[in-house]
Amino acid sequence: MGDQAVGFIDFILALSPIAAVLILMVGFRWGGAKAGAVGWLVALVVSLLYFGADTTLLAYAQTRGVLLTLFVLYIIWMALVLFNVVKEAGAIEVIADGIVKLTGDRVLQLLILSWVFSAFLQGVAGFGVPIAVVAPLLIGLGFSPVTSVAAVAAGHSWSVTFGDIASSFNALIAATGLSGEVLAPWTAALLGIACFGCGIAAAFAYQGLSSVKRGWPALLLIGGVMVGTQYLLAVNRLWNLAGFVAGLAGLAASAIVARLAFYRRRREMDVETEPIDDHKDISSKKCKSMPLYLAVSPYLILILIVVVAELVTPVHEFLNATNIVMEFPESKTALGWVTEAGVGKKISVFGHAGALLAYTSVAGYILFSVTGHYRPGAVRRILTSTTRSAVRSSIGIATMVGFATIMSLSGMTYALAIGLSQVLESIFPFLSPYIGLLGAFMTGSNTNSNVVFAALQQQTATLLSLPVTLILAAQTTGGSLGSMLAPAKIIVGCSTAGLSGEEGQVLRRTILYGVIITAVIGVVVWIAAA
Amino acid sequence: MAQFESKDQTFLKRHKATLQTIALVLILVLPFVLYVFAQAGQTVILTALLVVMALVMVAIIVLS
Repeated sequence: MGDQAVGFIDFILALSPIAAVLILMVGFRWGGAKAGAVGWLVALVVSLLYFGADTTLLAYAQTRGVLLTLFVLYIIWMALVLFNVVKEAGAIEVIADGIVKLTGDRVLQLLILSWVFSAFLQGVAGFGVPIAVVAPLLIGLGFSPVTSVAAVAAGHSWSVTFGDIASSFNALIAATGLSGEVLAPWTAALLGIACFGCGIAAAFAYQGLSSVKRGWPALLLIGGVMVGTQYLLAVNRLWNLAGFVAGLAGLAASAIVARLAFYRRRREMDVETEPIDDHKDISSKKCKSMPLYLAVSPYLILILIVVVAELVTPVHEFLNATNIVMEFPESKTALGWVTEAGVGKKISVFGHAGALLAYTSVAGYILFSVTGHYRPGAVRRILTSTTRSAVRSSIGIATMVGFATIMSLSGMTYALAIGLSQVLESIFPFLSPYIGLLGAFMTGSNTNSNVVFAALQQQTATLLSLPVTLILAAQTTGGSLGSMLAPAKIIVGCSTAGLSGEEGQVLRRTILYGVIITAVIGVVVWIAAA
Repeated sequence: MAQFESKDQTFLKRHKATLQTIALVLILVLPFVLYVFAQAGQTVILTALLVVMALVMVAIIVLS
């Protein structure tokens, strides 16, 4: 194994856990948790019987894996708590209502909600929340359900990697052992290109090229602001804020763009369907009395907390003084694959992005409580809602991470990397974003895609002497874009849009957009790697 | 037999959320127990615990 001799059987068996997950999720429409558990069992059996792993190695693989899992889940759970704190007070509807009032132009409304507001929501919550929240709002404005789900699925995808307090980017850091500073520039650059692609796709989902023509000033101006903001924050160590602040900056830019003479003429002819009252009511039912500044204040508090925690050195050192650290000895398979001794993923208890989200959630809860925006039983509803939406995705992440670390420590990932480098040598840079896309498609998550494929991409890039940071940026950009065609996300969107059972209609559109935008990214990576 | 199967299915349906939460807790806690016994070199107990983890995975497949 160590001498880079990998036969066909080695390659096929190394591929078997990933293939099992892929076949079950795509072919049999299984969820991530169920398919991930099968992947774990396959990886366990294959690593024991063929790749020479022993029980001690597998035990350490599981412990390394669970540290990585907890690192990611800390962010996800706390992000969901914050989202539910805000949602329970009715602030999400107030923010959406404010956006709708900005303009009467249909294309701009669609772009602001599906491309900008959904990116902002992805920045604070993720896990299907943007599609679940925004698609019904668009339907309420008169857009067809298929257009609504497809536009939001495509529109928000660019922001997934740095969204949700950069949980996917943090997973990339954790899975590769590289620093965020090294990974951020290429990642932000490729996601910038993806941002424009996603905006164009969202506009196209409405009325084809005519919508793109109508939307080009907004695409250029708002896109420029979002891409620039995300890039600047990401390369200056503030990647945890990059997606969310880019979304906020995009909302501010939208307010300016809506005032352009080009968008002030209301276009009546392009209403797709009649507004649906049930959905329209969402924006005015609960919290008429809440001013917009109060609705967005938890997110402003989050910015403040993250900036202080990351950039004020004494605070940063204080918060990061308490860490969960575990030492691992060297492990070796019977075939000679060695994993060096070292510490597993370090988790800062009070300085982790999840902790910063927890502080924000408490502050937000106090703020909305003091101003009287909660009904009795709010805490119970917030916790129930968080648990309900987080448990299944947490199981999915835990099982995926579990089999990915078994593969990594038993040399299966390495065998795959060698096989891929032998077969795809010349076109690997072009295909690397597609591997990320595939990962997100099969697991429903950019984070899971990075966990499963980042080490593979890293090792393949090293073997082929390609720029590792560029290939990893391509991996996570593909993973981000994969969100628009991941069945798990489309199902969420369709369920809130009243399209349950008709996911195929949306998928047919988003697969086309996803494949085309990923091809553009692939060409850029190929040129940059040359 | 059919009655037992239907009772089991009803039980699983009714307690699905709780059982999934228990499964999640187990797959997050068991690796730390594995770590302790791996450090102690207790391979027999490690094997038993890995079998338990595999059973948890089977339970997840059944529950999901």
